[in-house]
Amino acid sequence: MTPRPLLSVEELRTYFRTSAGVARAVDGVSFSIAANESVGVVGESGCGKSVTSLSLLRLIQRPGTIEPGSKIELEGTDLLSLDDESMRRIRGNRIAMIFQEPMTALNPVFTIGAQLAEVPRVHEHITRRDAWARAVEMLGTVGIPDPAERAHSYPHQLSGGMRQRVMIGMALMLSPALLIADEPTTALDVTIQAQILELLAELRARTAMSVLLITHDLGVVAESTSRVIVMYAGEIVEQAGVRELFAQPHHPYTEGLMAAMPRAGTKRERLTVIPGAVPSPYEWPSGCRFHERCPYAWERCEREHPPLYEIGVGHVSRCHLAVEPERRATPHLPLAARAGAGA
Amino acid sequence: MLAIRWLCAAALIAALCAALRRFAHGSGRTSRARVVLARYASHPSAVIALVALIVLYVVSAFSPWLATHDPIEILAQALANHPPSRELLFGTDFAGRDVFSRVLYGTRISLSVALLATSISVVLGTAYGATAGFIGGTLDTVMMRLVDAFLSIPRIVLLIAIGTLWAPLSITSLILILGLTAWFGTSRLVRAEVLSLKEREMVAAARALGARDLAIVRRHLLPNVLSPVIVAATLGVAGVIVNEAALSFLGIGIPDPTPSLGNIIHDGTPYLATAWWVALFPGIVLVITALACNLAGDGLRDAMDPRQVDR
Repeated sequence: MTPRPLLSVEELRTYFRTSAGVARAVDGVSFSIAANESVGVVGESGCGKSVTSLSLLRLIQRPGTIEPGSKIELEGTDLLSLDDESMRRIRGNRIAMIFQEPMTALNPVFTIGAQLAEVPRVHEHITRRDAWARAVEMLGTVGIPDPAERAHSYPHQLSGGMRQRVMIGMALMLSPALLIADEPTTALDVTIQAQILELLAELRARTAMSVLLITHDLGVVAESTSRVIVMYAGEIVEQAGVRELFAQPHHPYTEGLMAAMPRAGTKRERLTVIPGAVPSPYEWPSGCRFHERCPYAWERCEREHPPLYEIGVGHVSRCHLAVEPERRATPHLPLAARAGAGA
Repeated sequence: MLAIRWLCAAALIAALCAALRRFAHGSGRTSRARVVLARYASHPSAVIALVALIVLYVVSAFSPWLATHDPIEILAQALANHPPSRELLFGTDFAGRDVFSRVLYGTRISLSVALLATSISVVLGTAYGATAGFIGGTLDTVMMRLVDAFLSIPRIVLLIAIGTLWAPLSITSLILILGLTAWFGTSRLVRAEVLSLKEREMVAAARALGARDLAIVRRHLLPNVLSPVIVAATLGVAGVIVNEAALSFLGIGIPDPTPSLGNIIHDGTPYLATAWWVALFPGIVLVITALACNLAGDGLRDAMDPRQVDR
């Protein structure tokens, strides 16, 4: 029997009801995260990965709503049935989140020490002095050199990498069970990226924390997660262990993402691209949402929305190729590419 | 005796300037205030304006001490419209009152009225604008259309209307009226700032860490609108001083015999051809005060520009 997961999400639907219609940004997403596990979520911009992570914290702003029927359970607690005050106490305490842009995520008018010290004061009765001591300790933990002195620095006096370390420190102040990292390295230099990922891995190893890493960069996922969820058009299209996924990607979208990854040492004139763009959440395509951009698509894909087929141990894929694998032998120009050429 | 008083005042100013300079260039951790101060110090006109304001403020604060005569006492009917002399530095007005002492006291009253009225308008405008911007939606629309309506009435016309309706005004009610009609611009400014600030990731990050709405306003929004508000307030002081003077000049501001810069000018206007000194000296002080406020405001705006966060 597998232990109860730390977080389980079932049929999460987050819709935005605007005057232009209903944007189904997240449309029936189910997954779970075990304690101390590191899970990656990949996909292009607009596929719903950020909305998914904000939904977990119930931080969706108007006009967005998490639709009835969705279920988010953390440590056995149904988050969607909590009142606002109880939910507020979950944030930071049990689930914390770090963001993409470390410059705008820190408050420019307070020292980093003051900003870290504020976090426990929101949730607990703790003296200023104790909070400050914990802030300094945390700065040391996230690898800020000379933390006692650095705590007096303002955000603008730190480099991007340092600021992201401070952000991580802020998120970890209350030892959350789950850390959601939304594109934590996208705004950083490549060398700094590696350091931040290393730090996250190290912190996860040291604590019992789980990490949900959201990124558009498969390279980041390969380095620092054990399981990968690929999202497309508001749905999960493939989920597998990281090795399995890289060795045998099943969904044509995952294949496309991998082909689009720049690789050192290979000689290619141009980077491979997936033709077309993510469709509009106001009107997802019928059938398989990827069929217009897919090199294998056939009539069935236009007609029939594929379920998540189980294709291996812990490996699922939302593609009809699972039942008609012979179609993979005959790729063709995708619909989106043909339309583009004709225009 | 008088010389000693002036010397003391001068020493005080010098000490203040030295302290300010030490603070700006002091060793140790660089605080934001220090950065702003150092940048402010690089504007010569703003520094001169600040010194002028400090001098004006200190001089007016010590006016009972520095005045050569009682500002209300009629020295002698024979001394009416007496030209400036060694004894009567700025001469006397039509009633035979010492203009120098009246200007000192008048500056004090004008500055106090302006500072208090501006405080009212800043607090009100910030609270109003922050509420509208943070809550948003229909409330925001209604609140801001109301501000638009008030802004469409020229302020001086509004002031004259209120002033004549409730004449004669006490100083307290004058402060209230000046303050209550000056906050519309500030509220607009604060609302616009709050609208852009609340979309920043730091607000999302604070929410993600469980911060309450009130904490977000207090820790993330208000401190970050402080710079533009301070600038607006400095410029607002100049506006209020001029408006108060205008009301007093029109005879509906601070009532005689209490001196204010505006009513001293008012008293001197009929005698401009014969006793020019009565209107000229308070006029100069008024211009210097308003100009200094504006220059200091401009300097502050540059020094606090958030786009120049790096030293």
